[in-house]
Amino acid sequence: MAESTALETIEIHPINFPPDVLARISPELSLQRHLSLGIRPCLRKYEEFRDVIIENNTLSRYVDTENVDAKNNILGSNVLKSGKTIVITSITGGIIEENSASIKDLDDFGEDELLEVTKEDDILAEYASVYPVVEVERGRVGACTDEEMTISQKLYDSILHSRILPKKALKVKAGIRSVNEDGTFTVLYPDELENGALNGTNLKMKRKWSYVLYAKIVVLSRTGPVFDLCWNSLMYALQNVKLPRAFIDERASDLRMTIRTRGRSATIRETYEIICDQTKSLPLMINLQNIAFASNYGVIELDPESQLQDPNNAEEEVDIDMDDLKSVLIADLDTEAEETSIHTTISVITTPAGNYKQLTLVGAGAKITPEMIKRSLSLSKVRADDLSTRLNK
Amino acid sequence: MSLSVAEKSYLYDSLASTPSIRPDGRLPHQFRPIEIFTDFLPSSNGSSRIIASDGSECIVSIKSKVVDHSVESELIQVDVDIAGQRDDALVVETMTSLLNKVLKSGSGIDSSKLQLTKKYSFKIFVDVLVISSYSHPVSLISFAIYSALNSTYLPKLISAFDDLEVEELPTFHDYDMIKLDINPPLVFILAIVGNNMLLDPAANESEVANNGLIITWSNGKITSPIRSIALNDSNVKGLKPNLLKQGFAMVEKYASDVVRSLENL
Amino acid sequence: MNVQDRRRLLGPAAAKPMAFSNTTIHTLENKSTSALPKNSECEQELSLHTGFIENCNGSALVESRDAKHQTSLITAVYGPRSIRGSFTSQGTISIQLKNGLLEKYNTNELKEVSSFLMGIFNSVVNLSRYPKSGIDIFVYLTYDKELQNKCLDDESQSKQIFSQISSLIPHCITSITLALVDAGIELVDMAAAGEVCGTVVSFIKNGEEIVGFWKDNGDNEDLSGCLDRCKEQYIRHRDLMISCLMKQKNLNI
Repeated sequence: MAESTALETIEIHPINFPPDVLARISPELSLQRHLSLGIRPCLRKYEEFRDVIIENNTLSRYVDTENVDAKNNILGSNVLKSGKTIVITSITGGIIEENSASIKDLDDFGEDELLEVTKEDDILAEYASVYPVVEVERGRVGACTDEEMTISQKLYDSILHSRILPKKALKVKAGIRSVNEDGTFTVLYPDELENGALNGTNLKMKRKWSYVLYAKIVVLSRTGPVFDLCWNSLMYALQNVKLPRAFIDERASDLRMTIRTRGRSATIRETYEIICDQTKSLPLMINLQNIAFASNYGVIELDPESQLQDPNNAEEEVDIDMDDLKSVLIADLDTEAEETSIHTTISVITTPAGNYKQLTLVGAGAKITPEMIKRSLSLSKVRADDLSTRLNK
Repeated sequence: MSLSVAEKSYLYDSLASTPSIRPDGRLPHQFRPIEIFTDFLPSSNGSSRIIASDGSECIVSIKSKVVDHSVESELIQVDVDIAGQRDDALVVETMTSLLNKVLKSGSGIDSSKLQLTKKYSFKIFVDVLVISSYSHPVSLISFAIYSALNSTYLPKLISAFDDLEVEELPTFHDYDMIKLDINPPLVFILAIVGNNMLLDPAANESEVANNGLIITWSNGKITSPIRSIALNDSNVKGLKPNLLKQGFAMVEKYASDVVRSLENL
Repeated sequence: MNVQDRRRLLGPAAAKPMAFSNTTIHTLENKSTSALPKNSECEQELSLHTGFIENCNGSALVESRDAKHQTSLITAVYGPRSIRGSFTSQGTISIQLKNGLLEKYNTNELKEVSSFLMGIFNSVVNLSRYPKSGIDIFVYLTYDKELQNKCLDDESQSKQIFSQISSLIPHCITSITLALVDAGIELVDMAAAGEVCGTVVSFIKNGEEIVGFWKDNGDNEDLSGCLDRCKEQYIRHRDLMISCLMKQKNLNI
């Protein structure tokens, strides 16, 4: 068998590996062998997705509406399990003062009309995003990995461009806390009052605040690409966010600088501190029709050489034309074998109604045919529809 | 300094024997000689420098600030810097956390001693710089903090004590200073070798120790925090519960002597 | 001091974290205290799971719930894996504690706990069996929730936190021990611990040996009483771990 110029002949014995060992040493071959049987290494069919189990809003401060958890600052949360991967998303908030007072912000009454006028110019400027920090646990310490950085950035951009979070929804409708004569505090919110009894001059504030949302996404037990899972988890979490009502002290509502004569500027600033209400909250008004779900696909060419051959017709199979490679579409990539050997990917973010938000095609190696794109788009829609129903359970 | 296997075994046997024989001939409860200088930093309210006989050295500086104590409840803040270690290194952060607990208002330090008026208090910042250390530096640092706090002078208040009604900031005398009168806790470190307890273990003793104990001593009694601590990562073993009591007894017996000698500086 | 990490999207620097008032909570306080006696006598419930994280060698989940608070922590063990650098005759252990969803502990306090835990597991893991390798343990404090809703002034609030981290340590020890067993790493004995009023004592060998002692609150009164109560808890935790592992093993067969 072996060609050798030496006198002795060397005999080569084929070595057999058990499937799990082969999967470690040659993931590519193992994947091809599986595909030739019509299944994938994770024993799913080509176009089969992993099941998704979600737990919504179990961690936030508003879990129990009767009894708000005072020390918890999570406004919305989601735990998503897909296959063996667990994604925990928690949304926290901050408040930022809008100091760059544009014309729109200064006059509240004409805001809607002005919005109309400037709409053509800059629609995106009317939408905000959340600031995601993704942590993929993989037993390392130190700086964040490239994967974590790219997923965070992609989540940020995708939320902004999907127009899910209007800036208007993040505006703080601040109330005013006043001290009653008996020393107790009452907080008045402008929108809670009947026909604007107090809506006169003393509740008009020149200063504006808005909420900033942060998302902490922790991925445990990563087995494959995780962008989809992070995105979907974030979508679920965003839908149950509740923003706490915020108020400022009575003293701070008017901006007269004569409050203290001897005080320094630092002491004056302190009185404008905006404080959040312990119990009262408002749901975050997101554009529900823009809530979209992500799914991903891979395209791989079936390698005729690594097909598991039927020993009876082994002779026929050899004649397969090597140029005519058949490629297949694989849905919801998972496992190391698929991640390392499938480089051609399609990822789609779509609303259940078929309103496509994002489509990324990465062609590397295998050819992406128009049929595959069509197929992945329609699968995504079905998937998004399925995922959106989970929330209402 | 790293000892060979044979050296370690010899040292262990001699330390674990009864009575234990320490390489520098000390008794189990005997400290190494230390030198302390106080009040040598002109720009801080109090300072001290401590040098141990093995060349370990540590500088502590005390600074203060007037704060509203209804806003800031923690009136002592310790910051530790160890030469050659990053700020986020495990030893540095562990030491910072431990010393902050030692000097925590309430149990460690009587916060009423720092109160200026009904509204304001002094906040004390303790900055620790360990220039070099060969064995676990916690005991050395705590001695340095003790002597620095005992040599701290703070400005004398001349405005009224009751300032809840009147909006005024505390004002101070131009020259007069008042000695800070707080009784800071001390921290002792014990090495456990076999069934023997050794106070103030040197580097080579730490290397063979089976375990260690950090014990806080305040106002004539043992108090929290108390920790067991692994002094090396190769020789650590569990300890018998009675050794714990033995260690406490040892500290109870000798701590007041240490306090006395530090007070007589 | 805090330099912004440019590699992460941390949002605008001017934004302030939400500060919740504590003036409006008074009405709630009465409500929660009235509900308290009902569950205050019930024992602490523990639930243990192992081996559910795929990309590590061993993992464990410990969830506990008692009258006061509810805790959940996940531990992942990576290793033994080879270390870079020169030869070491025995393995090295590193333990990282991570704040989970509620970022309530300071990093230096977490590091202090992790170095304490490292001290414990240096004497529990049979390190001489793992030359030239490192065992990295990650403990993730998923959540740690107060069930009693109390309005606390600042001083007692900080005290509360001090006592809380010590109440977490026994669970950390349980979950690390379980995860190490799940990873197939050789131990001298199953370590577990008990906690009484801020004092944590960790035992091995049926309570004959102490591997860790941590005291955060109070003076040195009633040491032996404290040791006995911790030992009771140790035995309870250890028995639970063993039955959990046996159950797991029977499932796998």
